[in-house]
Parts: sequence; C-alpha cells; structure tokens
Amino acid sequence: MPSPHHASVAAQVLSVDKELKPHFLRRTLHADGATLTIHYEASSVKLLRTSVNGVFEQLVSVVRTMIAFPALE
Amino acid sequence: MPRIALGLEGSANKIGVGIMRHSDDGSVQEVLANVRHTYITPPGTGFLPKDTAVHHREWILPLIQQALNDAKITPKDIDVICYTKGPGMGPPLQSVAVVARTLSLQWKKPIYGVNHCIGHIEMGRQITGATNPVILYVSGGNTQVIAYSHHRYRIFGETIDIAVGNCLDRFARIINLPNEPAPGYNIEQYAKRGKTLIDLPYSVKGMDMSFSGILSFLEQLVAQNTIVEAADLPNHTTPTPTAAPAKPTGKKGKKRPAAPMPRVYTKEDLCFSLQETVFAMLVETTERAMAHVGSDQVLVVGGVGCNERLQGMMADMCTQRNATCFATDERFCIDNGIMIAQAGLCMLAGASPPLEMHQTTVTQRFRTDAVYVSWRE
Repeated sequence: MPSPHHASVAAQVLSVDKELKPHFLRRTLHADGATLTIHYEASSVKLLRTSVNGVFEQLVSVVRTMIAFPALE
Repeated sequence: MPRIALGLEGSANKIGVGIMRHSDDGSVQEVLANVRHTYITPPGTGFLPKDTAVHHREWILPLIQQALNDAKITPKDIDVICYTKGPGMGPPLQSVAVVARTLSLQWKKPIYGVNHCIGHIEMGRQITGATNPVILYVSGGNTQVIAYSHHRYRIFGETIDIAVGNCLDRFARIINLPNEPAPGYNIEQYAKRGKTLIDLPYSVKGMDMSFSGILSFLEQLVAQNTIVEAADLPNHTTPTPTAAPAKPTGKKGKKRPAAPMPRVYTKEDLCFSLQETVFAMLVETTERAMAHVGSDQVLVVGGVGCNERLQGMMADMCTQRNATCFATDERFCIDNGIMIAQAGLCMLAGASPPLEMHQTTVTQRFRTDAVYVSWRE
C-alpha cells in the first residue's frame, strides 16, 4: 500500500464484514507498516476464489475512495 | 454550531448522496445537496445484486464530489457520515458501507447506520411538515403501514409476501414495459389510458395485504391470452370475446366443458386494473390504521408514493374522513441520500451514539420497529 495509513484504513474497513460461511472459510487482515496482509484458510478452491474476488473489489473501492478524498489532519 | 451530515444510500438500484444541515437548535433544516443515479436494466429484466453493486461502486465517488460542490462545502465541514445499514440487497448495501467507513476514517468523523424505512419517514415528515401521521411506506422492497408510539415506529400492517412495488415492477417485466425511468412510472402512464376494469383478486387480510397472488393471476392471464398495445387495435376498441364451440359428447353422454377462447387484453387496461386494485388495498389498510389510532394525517413515502393515482385515491379517502394527506415528489419519494442524512441528524439530536467501526455492518433484514426513536417524545 502507498503508506502505513492506507494499509491501516484498508485493514480496518475490510475487517468489518464477516465471511458468510465461517466453518468453510476464514479470513484475517492486518496492517504491518505499509503492507496489508490478508490470510485465508478455505476448505475449497472455489470458495477461496469467490472470496478473494470480493475482497479485491472492496479493496479497489477503499483505495479509490482514499485517492479521491485524502485524509484530513 | 450548525450540524452537517453526509448521507449515502444504496439499498436497491439507486445510489444517492445527500448533504443536510440542521441549525444548532434543530429548528432550521436545509437540504444542501441531493444527487442520485439509477441502475436501469433492459425491458423484461430486473436488477441483480452483484451488477447493482458494480453500478454503485462506479457512481458513488463522483456523486459525493458533486454533492460537495452543490453544497459549496469541503470535507472538513461535514460533521457526521450516515449510511444505510438496511434493509435492502446485500451486495449494494455493502458497497456503500465500505465507502462510508473509509470516509469516516479519512475525515475522522463519527459514523451512523440508518434504517432505510426511517430515512423515508423522517424525510417525509421534514419536507411535508406532517406532525404525527399514519405512514404508508410503499416501494419496490417494502410495504408497511406505520404509526409512531412511545419511541418506536410501530408496524400496524404490512405485506405478508411481496411489496406492492415489487408486484408492479415484475408485472411491467411480464408485459415488457421499459424500466426507464422506472417500471412503475411506465405502468402509471399506461394506466392513464386504460378504460376497462378487469376483475383481479383483491387480497386484504385484516391489517395486512398480499400481492403475490395478484401477480400469479396476471402471469397466467398474460400467458393464456393475447396482450396488445391499445394503439394496435383496430378502432382502438377491445373486441368482445365470443363463446367457444360446444365439444362433442364424451363417455356416457356427458358434455365436456367448453375451453375458454383466448381474449385480447390491452396493456393499458391491465395496468389500469392492477393499479386500481392494489391501490384500493393500500387505501383500505391505511384507513383501518387511522381509525385504530384516531389519526387525521396520512403521509405516503417510498417510490410507489410518487404515483399520482395513489396520491389521489388516498386524498379522496382523507377528504371523506376530514383528514389530510401528505406526499412528496420524486426527489424524496424515490430512494435518496438526503433522507439518510436527515435520519442520521435526528439520531444525533436524540443522543443516539454513533457506531464503532466493527458495528458498521449491513443487514438485508432490518425491521422498522427495531430502532429506538430517541429524537421524539
């Protein structure tokens, strides 16, 4: 991510929504400096694919929002 | 200090952004911006959750920028961020919540999750000045008769299956009316040209209503008969049906019943008949609620509330009861962001606490009476 602030905001925003099938798929996010790490444990490749697609759509949305509306002091 | 709220709405196919300002004592309430874009699909189709979310993600940022421009303010002037928590469709709701959360963290502002139905109610009250009306909330997703009591918007009656707007929208799909600008709008225009009232099922159950049976009846009627535009008929008159020829006698000399000949129905007559039937059901249940609570005010909110025939029928009923009927125009009837900002400012005024980040979820089901109405007596 461009900065630790960006990584932190993304981790906070994307952690709110719970995965729909917690028995079959678990996802955790955390920010370490400017790196956003998303850790997956999934019971099937298909579940993993659909969840990753969804998270990336949301991540793009978060990043675009931060670009359009920079942080206020 | 005046308070300014940004409202973000996206529970169905409209993405709306609104900016509302309340004076510090709440006595002056102004709409500073109200912009919206609607996701419209081709005739014969409806909008699907994921495609709707894609549309909302595409439009929400430009709309927020436009709203700030219209209001002539900058992000630091915003005091609270308000978003639709529910009810509605999951993916679209979530796509809006993600942006709301991001702005809350970027601008360091508190965030409120608003009930969509209460947004409609509070905006309707603000715009019309109705003090304590019975509320008819009718849209593509909801159909409820509501009255306020002891800090809750109580649901007096509702649909037991689909919303009235859903019935109208799906019927528009069946007869291939365009979805531009909205299927219900096109039904209303066709209905104005209808002449013959077709007998449709009428389904009021005490305080509640049912619409899926009427839709099924119409689906079958359309499948078994010929549907035309009135303009395509010779001399613009509907031909009278002729009796079927008698079938030859079957076993033991019994005559088999004659099969009905397919009739010709015009889209105009069907739209007219559907409106007259479902709107009468809405007026009946609203009147019943008014009688129960002794109210002399009715407020109609939600997308179906734009319909002038429904407004007229409701006004006629109110006149008979010496009551007043309040309605708003399409800026506020149809889903919009300003109603979310308005309800958010009400929650702020009533000292309802803002949400912690982990609470800023969305939910497809969110009952109107689940919200504690802190801002009213």
